[in-house]
Amino acid sequence: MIKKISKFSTIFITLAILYIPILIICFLSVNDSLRPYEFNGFTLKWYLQIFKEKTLYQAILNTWGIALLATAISTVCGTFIALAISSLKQKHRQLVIFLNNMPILNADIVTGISLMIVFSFLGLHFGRYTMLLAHIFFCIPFVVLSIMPRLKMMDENSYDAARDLGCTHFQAVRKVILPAIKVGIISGALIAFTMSIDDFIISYYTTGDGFSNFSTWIYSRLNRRTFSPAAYAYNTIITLGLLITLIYINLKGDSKNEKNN
Amino acid sequence: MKKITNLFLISLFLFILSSCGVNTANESLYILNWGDYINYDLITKFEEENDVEVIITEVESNEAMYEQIKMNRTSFDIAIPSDYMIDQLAQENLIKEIEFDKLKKYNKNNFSKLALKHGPKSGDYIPYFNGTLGIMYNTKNIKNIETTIKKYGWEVLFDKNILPDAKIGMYNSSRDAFAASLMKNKISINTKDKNDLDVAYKSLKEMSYTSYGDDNLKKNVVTGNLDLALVYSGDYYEELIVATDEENDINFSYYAPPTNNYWLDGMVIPKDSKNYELAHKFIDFMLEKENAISNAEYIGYASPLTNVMDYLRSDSEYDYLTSNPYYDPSMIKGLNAESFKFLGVDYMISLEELFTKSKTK
Repeated sequence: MIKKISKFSTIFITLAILYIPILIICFLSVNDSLRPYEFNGFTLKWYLQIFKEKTLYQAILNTWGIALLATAISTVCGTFIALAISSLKQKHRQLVIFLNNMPILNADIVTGISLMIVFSFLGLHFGRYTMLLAHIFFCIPFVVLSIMPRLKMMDENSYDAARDLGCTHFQAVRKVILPAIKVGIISGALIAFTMSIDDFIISYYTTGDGFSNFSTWIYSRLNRRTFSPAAYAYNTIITLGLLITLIYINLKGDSKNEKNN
Repeated sequence: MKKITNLFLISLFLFILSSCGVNTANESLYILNWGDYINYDLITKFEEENDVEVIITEVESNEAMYEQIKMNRTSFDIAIPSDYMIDQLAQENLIKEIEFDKLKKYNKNNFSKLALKHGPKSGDYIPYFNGTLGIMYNTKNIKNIETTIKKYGWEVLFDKNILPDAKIGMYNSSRDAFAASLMKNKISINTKDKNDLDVAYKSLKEMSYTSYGDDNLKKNVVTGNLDLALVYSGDYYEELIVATDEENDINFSYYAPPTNNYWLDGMVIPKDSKNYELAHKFIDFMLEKENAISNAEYIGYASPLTNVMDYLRSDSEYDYLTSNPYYDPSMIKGLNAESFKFLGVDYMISLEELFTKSKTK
C-alpha cells in the first residue's frame, strides 16, 4: 500500500512540477492586470495585444522566420553531410562524427561567444544574418546526428542495386536513399526547429542592429513596465497549438490502429 | 520533397516579410538604450519628422552597454549609459565629442545645478534623467515604519535592532550595496581605501537580508513580501506609475536620505557612430521642452531640465509624481550628493569579491 502511494505521489509531484509553470503562464495570459502578482479579472485583450504591440509582434515574426529558415537550410545541409560521412571509411567516419558531436556537447554560452568573436573577426555586420548563420551552425550537428543511425540501418547494397537497375546517381539518392532515411530527416528537422525557436544565449551574442527574437525581447523587457502580458498570451497559444497537434496525432494513430485490427 | 520546398519558400517569405519596413527610410539612427527608457511615441514622431528609421537595441545593464559599444557589433549613434559608465567610456576613448553649436535647444543654464555639479567630469554627454538611491518601503505591514526610516536613514538597512521584524531586501550589486553601506558609515562612495571598504564590508556582513535582488525588489515591496529594500528612485516611480494607471491602492513609498548617491544618465555619441549629424538632431529633438515633458511623463523619472520640472510641478495632473518630496533630487532638503566615478576594473573585481564574501554567512 505504502509502495503504491509513494509511487503515485512521485508521479504526481513530477507532473505537478512540470505543468504548474505552464498553467501559471496560461493563467497570467487571461489576467486583466499588467502585473503577475495580482489578479484583476478575466480578459482576452492580451491575445489581441500580440498584434498591436509592434516590437513584440516583430520579435515573434523574427523568431519564426529565423527558425523556419534555419531548419530548412540546416536540414538540407545536414542531410548532405550525413550522406558524405556515411561514405567515408570507418576510421575517418568516427573522427568526423566525433567532430560533429563536439558542438552539441559544448555549452551554449561557449558557442555563442566564440561565434560572436568569429563573426566580428570576419568583419560581418551583426544583425539578422549573423543570427541566422549562428542558428544554422548549431542546428546542423543535430540533423546529422539524427540521420546517421538511419543511414547505418539502411542496407549498404541498396544504392548499388538502384544503380544496377538503371538509376542515375542522383535518381538513386532521391528515390532510394532519401525515402529510406526520411524518418531521420524529419526528426532532425524537428529537433533543429525546436533548438532554434527556443534558443536564447546564442541569439543574444550574435544579434545586433536592434534585431531581436522573442527570447532576447523578453530578456530586455523582463521586470520592466512595458513587459506586456501579451508575451504570456503568445506562450499560451504555442502550448495550446502543441497540445492540439499532439491530441490530433494520438487520436489519428488510435483510429488507424483500430482499422488495422 | 515538395513539402520541404514549400517549407523553405514559406520561411523565406516570412524572413523577407520580417525585414519589410527596413530600408524604406533614407537613413537609420541606431540607439542603444535600457529597456523601456524612452517614450516610443517620440520615436515615431522623430521618424516622421526626419524621414529616418530609428532602430533601438535594448540592454539591461551599463556593463552590457559597454560591451555592445566596445565590441562594435552595431555602430550605435546614441547610447544612454549612467554616470560612471560615461566616465569609463570617455577614459577608454569610446565616445565622440558632441558639437554643442549644432544643438539649438541646448542651454547649459537649463540643466539643474545638481546635474552640472555631479555629472561625470570626463567625456561629452547630454543629461537625460537623474535621481537618487533610497529606501522603498511598504506602508501597511509595520506601524510607524515611515517615521523610523526617516529618523534613522541608511541605518535601517544595517541595524537589526531598529526594525527587528522587518524583512529587508538588498541590491544584488556590489557597487550599490557598498554605496549604501559606505553612506551609512559616512564614508565617500568613491573611496578606494582598504580600511574604509572593510568597515562597509563589516556592516554588510553583520546584517542578514531576506533577499538579494535586482528589479524584483520593488515588486516584493509592493506585494508586501519585503517591508523595505534598497532601490533606485526610478524603480519606485515605475511602480507608482503602474499603480496609478491601474488605479490600485498605493501602499508603498520612497525615502531618499540626504547623504545620497546621486545618479545621472546621459546621452552620448559612441565613437563608431556613422550618423553623426542625425545623432545631433536626435539629441536636439529630445531637448525640446515639449518632447522632454512627454518623455518625463512617460518614464516617470525626474528630468535634469529645470523648465521641464517647473512645468510638471505647475500642472496638477502630475501631482502623483511631484507631490513626493523626493521626486526631484534638486528639491531634496540638505542633499549631500555624490555620484559614482569609474574607479578601474581591478577595483570592481575586488569589490565584487568582498560583496560575495559578505553574502555568505
